[in-house]
Amino acid sequence: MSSQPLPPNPCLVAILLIVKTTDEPFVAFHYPPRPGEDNSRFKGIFRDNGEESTSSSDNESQDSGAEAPEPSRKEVVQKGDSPPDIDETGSASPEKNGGLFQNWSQQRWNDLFGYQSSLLARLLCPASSCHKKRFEVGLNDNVFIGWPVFARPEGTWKKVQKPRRSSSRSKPTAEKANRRSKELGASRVQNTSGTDENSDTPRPAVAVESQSEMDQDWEVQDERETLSSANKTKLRGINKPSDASTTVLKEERPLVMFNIVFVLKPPPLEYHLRVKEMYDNVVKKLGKALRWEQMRSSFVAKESALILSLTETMDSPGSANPSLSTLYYDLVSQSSLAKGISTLYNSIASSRIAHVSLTPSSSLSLQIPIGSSISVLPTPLEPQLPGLWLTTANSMPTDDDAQTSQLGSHFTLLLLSDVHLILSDINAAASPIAKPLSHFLRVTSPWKSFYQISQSSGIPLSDIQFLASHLIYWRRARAIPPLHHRDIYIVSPNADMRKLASATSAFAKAFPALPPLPKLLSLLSSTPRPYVNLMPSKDHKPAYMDILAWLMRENWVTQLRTFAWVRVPSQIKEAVSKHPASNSFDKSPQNTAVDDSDDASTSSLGVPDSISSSRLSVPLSNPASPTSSTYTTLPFTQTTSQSPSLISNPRLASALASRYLSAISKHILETQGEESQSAWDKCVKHFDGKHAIETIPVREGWKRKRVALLLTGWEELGVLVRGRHW
Amino acid sequence: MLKAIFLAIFDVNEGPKVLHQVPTSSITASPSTPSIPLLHFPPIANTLIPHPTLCNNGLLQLTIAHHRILSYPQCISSPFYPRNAYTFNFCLVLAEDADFSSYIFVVRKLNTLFRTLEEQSQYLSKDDSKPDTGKIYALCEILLEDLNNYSEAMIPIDDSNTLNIKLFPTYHPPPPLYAHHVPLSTVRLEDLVDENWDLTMLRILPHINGINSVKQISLLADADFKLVKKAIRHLLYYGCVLLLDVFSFSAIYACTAEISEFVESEETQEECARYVAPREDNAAFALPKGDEGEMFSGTELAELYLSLRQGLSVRNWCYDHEDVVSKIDLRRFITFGVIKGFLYRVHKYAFVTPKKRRKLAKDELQNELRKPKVNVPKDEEPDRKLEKYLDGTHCFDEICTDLMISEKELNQRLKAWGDVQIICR
Repeated sequence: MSSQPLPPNPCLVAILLIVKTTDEPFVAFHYPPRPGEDNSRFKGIFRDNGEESTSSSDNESQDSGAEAPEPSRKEVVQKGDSPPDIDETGSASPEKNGGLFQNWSQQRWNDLFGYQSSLLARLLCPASSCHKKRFEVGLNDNVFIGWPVFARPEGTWKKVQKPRRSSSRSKPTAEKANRRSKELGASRVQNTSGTDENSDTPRPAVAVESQSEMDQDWEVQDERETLSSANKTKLRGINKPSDASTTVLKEERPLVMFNIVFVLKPPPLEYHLRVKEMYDNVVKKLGKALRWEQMRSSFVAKESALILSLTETMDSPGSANPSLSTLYYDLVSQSSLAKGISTLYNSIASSRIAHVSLTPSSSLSLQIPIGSSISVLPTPLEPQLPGLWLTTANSMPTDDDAQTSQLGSHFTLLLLSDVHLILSDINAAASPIAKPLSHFLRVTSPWKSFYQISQSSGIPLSDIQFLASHLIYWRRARAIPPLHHRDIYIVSPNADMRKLASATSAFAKAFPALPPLPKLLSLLSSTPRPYVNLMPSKDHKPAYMDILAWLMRENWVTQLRTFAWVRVPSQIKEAVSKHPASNSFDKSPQNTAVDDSDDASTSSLGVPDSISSSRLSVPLSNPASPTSSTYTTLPFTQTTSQSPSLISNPRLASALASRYLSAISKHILETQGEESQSAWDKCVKHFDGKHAIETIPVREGWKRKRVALLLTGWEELGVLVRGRHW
Repeated sequence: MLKAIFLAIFDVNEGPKVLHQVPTSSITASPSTPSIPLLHFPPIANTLIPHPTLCNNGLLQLTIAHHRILSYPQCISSPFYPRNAYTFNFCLVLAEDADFSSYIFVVRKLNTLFRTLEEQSQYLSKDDSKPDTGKIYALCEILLEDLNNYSEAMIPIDDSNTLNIKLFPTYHPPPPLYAHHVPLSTVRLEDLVDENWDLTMLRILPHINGINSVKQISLLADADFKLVKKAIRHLLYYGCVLLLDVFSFSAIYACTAEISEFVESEETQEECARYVAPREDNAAFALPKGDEGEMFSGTELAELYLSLRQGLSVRNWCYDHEDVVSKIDLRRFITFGVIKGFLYRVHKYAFVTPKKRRKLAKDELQNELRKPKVNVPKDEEPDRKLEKYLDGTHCFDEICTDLMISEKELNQRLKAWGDVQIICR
């Protein structure tokens, strides 16, 4: 069960940015606004921030319900009602929060999971020995993973070559950013339209709308203030200095450490898997990118100063606190780091690829890779993965000389979305490989193998494989055996039937003139037959091939591939045992036993391991020319004690199996002629139950019809057994 | 496997420090023993003896130097103590990649028990034995030994307190169970029964035989369906039963990719030959070798399995292999393949477009409004009961089991719907 792939589950609860200047570390930013709590009332904020498009009506309606931190404050107070001192059993269960919360009637905007943010920050700021190392701390069910980065011992971020420039440059820029953001903040308080001034994508209309929305919000906030300001000031916390002077000081101090911490809540049995996935694919990569940006332009220092300037009023008792939704709107529109973190959260939490642009010149894409196929159909006892491509084409050896089985020259690419969409995305991203990529996308086709594409378009095969692997990694495409109208396709046993209704309408939109999807699936449900039989006429072929690509892409069908094993009929065994080779061990009685179960005993005797050499050597050691007549004259009805058997791996056949193989080869020569025999000798290596017969025409360059005829002939002769699966 | 257990406390003079550690010098080096500590304690000292808010607040775990430390910090505030608080934390050290879920319970129990003892009698704070000596050290030592060797420990602490700890493995939650699933026990359940077993469980046990579906079991045992489902999910959780499908001659089975393993494994083939031998000469079970003439060779069986395919019902397969059918137990032949995973059941699904379903519903409503008394002959009318099963997500087994009808009857009733697409998956 552990080998079974599991459905993607990022378990992501929140992303925090921990920053340490020369004094205390603090949580500079976190997303979502209220992690680990009932976030439904903040839904509107998530949507707005995630897609960074605000519709005013949406926001207004959400805001009345949002009520910023107030409701959660109550929650925490309720939670803290049972301090452990009262707890007589002494069991501090995870549900019961620390008693000190009683002293905290007000929760600050960045207090998370019921902990004070300053405590959490201290916990998440490790000793400097953890520099660029995996950082993992767990609190009950939540696990915090990070990749802390520290400044160099001398306090700078750049390499030693230019120490003066870096230290002198980082400060003024940070200050400048500060001043700018302060101006912004001021203008916002004065109710001038300040939000769109510094936002990355200016939307004047929206900004004005949100302005009016903010006003409303402040009114609400003011009311609340007057009601509870007395309480607040009295019970103000001890840890975080809230007066402006210290905050300013903090900002001017150089950045000493930052740590992007991902909060996960993995199921206990998948703990290691999920944590590792997240750490390897996201946490570490993001940490590295941020460190690079920090070294280059003290990006993190600037951004955290900017974020701090926007959030510093949040917890000061006297001033008008903007609601959490307003704050997040401002943060996301002004700070590219805040925007990056929220984008990252929204994408990764829903198992999508996150495209994060930190600075205008640099962006990165992060994802937790998901499998595109499974080879084993999950039983009712195992986790179900409906809608995943079911095939062994990717997991079993397909080409012996290809380094990567998935991208062997006989595979091709199935694009997972419209080619124009991918092309426009590529052009938008301006990647260095955009040009070859778009050229390749124009010539690729799911019914031509890489090799054929390379031949017709002139792109070298290695380039094609590189571009293909790029597209596959970024979930734009999938490697498949080329689609062919003579191959057999069935409804995939792993198809997601829940999507049938929605897929039917999508299918009808894509192929309006053709039969509906359920009808096609029903046609594919009967006895397996070549796909071409489904087509009403030859003219329908292009359309039906497009349908096939669509069905394959949406995982409604899978290819039923044929596998074969060499069968040793009893008369062959009889003949071989009657005419033993000169080798003495062949006369021993055990060799007359049923089949190649004696591999172990014989294979150690220096048996040639490749089929070509065994064909050469065995006939030499088997000088029985009279056998030729014996084979053909053998009466088929003759009852023998030797039942037929299968040779599982003709490539590495034992001595006895090799003799059977050569006897079969001779038998074919006598019954079906020379052509059939030479074909058999070429094909026999594929008859191991692992190589699909469908690949023989491509490998050997024969016509499909010829292969089909040959196989039928051999099957009639009783030397071949065929089976079909995916 | 536990690597170490240690007790960290907040010392009023020295700050956070390790008081006792098993094995000695596993956490902090001491001049007397040459061994190198597993990890460096000072960087994590403030995490393990944290601010009072983070104490009494549940599990706190961290990784350092390829080790994972599970802890459960406790802080007792009382004017009795210097600085008005006593903070301690029993910590377990495991390898970083080890499965630690069963130890969470241990660390919780250990800390909460000592919290109680401390509150009752200052058990910890009054114990002034030197580091790595005394009763608490001895307790940690026994605990480490016993948990690693026997996975359980029972250590008397004083007259009225005993530390009882056992490691329990964590299993996956049981998969969803449907009425049409057929449970098959993997162990002799009747041998496990004792008087404490649940009544429903006792009633259903005789009917779990790999033939009856969950629904049938509940009918046969005259037990509530929901309770039966619960009981079987219980068995599923402990891996005592497998889930099969309802065997019928109209069912379709086909090979999965694992068939190549069956073809190559003679062991499985022999097992299969014994399993599918007809039941009346059960002697074959006792003397598998003696009855070889009657049994099928592995190759024959493999070829038989390979001849099963999509679109071919068991009934039609029997017509093709009449000579074989009399010599094997057909149900066991199929079941064996399903258990081993090289056969899969091709389920049938019926689909009617939502538009048509809605239209029918509307028509019926209008009919009822217009002439409520006139009854249309039942055979002609599309079956309203079937409607919810026709969205393509319910397999025939499920529909038949839920409505308690045969597949034949279902097919007839489906005909009344007209344009039904049957999809085999």
